Amino acid sequence: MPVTFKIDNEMRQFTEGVGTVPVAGGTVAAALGDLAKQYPKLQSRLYNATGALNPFVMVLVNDEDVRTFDAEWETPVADTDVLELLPPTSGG
Amino acid sequence: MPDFSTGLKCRLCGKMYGKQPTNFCPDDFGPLEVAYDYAAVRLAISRAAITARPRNMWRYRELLPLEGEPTVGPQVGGTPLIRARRLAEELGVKTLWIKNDAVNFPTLSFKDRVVSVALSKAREFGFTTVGCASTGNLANSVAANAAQAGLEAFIFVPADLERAKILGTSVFGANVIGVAGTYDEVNRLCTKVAFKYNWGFVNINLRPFYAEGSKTMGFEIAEDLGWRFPQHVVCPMAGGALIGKIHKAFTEMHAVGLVDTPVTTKMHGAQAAGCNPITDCVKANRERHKPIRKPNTICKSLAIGDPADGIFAAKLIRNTGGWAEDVTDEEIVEGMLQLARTEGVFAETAGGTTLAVAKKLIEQGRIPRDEEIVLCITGNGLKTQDCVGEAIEWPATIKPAIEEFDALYADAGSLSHAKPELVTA
Repeated sequence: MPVTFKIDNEMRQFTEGVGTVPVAGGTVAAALGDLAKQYPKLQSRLYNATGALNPFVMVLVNDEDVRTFDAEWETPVADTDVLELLPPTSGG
Repeated sequence: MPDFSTGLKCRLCGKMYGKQPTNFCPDDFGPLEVAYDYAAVRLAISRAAITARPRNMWRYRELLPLEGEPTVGPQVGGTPLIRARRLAEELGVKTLWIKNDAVNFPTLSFKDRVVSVALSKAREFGFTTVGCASTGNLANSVAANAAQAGLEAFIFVPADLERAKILGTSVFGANVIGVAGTYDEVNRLCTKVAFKYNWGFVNINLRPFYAEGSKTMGFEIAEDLGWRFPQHVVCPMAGGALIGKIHKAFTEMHAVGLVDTPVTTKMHGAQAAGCNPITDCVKANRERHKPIRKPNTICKSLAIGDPADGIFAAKLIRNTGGWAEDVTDEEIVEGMLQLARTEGVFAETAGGTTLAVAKKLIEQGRIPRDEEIVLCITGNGLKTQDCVGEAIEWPATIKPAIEEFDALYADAGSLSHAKPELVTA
């Protein structure tokens, strides 16, 4: 079973308007990689030229910021988990 | 007056965008910042022209991003820079100043600076509904300034915010929504609301313009020091934008010829130990902060677990030779009391944090005792009275009779404060 990746409205400009994408991958990083593979417009936005993850990428795992988990991007994901790609953090 | 801003520039890739209500670069998600034609500003601005204007933040109008004249918050800014001699003596330092935005108009925090720019810009963009995600001070300011401007306001706050900050928002007739969650969760909700409803959220889609208002705190500090920069600034950090904008203000003043000497000020950041993503980032020498999922501190105004400018604040602190520290809730309360007792300034918890961190940095030797220091006080203690309630002794009560006072005065231990020295002619 694939993991569900929800795409926030503002980010759908990079996924051809699609709001929910099934992705493969045992970790958040792998799931994100699969998302970028499916939607090439995301590739250069999620990763820099050396392949490192862009520091302003915001992903939630079951409504929690993935970077707050101990394993961060290497956090394992199960079939029942819901990921969400959001615009970068603002506020303050 | 012409608009000297030239557009919005991505802080990562440098790509330029037009002046529009948006906050991030679609190419790399980098935050956008207002850019200016400094060569043109240099020709248009002078110390004499500035000092001839009313003492408020708009005297630096050339370096603020409006097309027309400001329509919101015309009296904001112009707060005192206080020479803090008694506090300096207690801290054992030579020269100490307090930039006191606890008395900013109209809502007693530095947020009036950013909001007046954001709402003036919102009007230029044609928004009739505005909003914000807030830890309290911003909520007060958006509500008050929107009321004065006749704009409808939707204010989102964590539901557990201090009562005074919620009251101080609702009183202005704003639509206040308490959200059961952290500030960061409130903020993420607001991002969705802002783009879905196409409202002007000051710290989301209007954020590049909004943040520029913070520069005026830096302009005022330098002007009040006699058109020069201090050696050290200690600044509270929530989203991390203020510390960067004060430094940007100094840099701009040099760039446009208002201050001759280049900026060498060391920028120091202050946070609460219960929410310290930026100070932790600096101390651990990491490039990027690790967000705090559940902040836990009495200093709610700084309780942002995922600061939008965290990366930039940490980098600035390192690049200027400053440092960052965090302090416990007990130290924050002690800081609030010390500031009040020595200088007559009742600051909110963020002010207690700033003073307590400054003490720590002085004791660590990171701020030399013979160098000039400015503490940025950003909000008023009347909004966070509960935090010092337990630390304040309740006054003794007597009958209205001189004998009762005589007895009380003779027994100094029963007074809540030390017996004062009698002044004799």
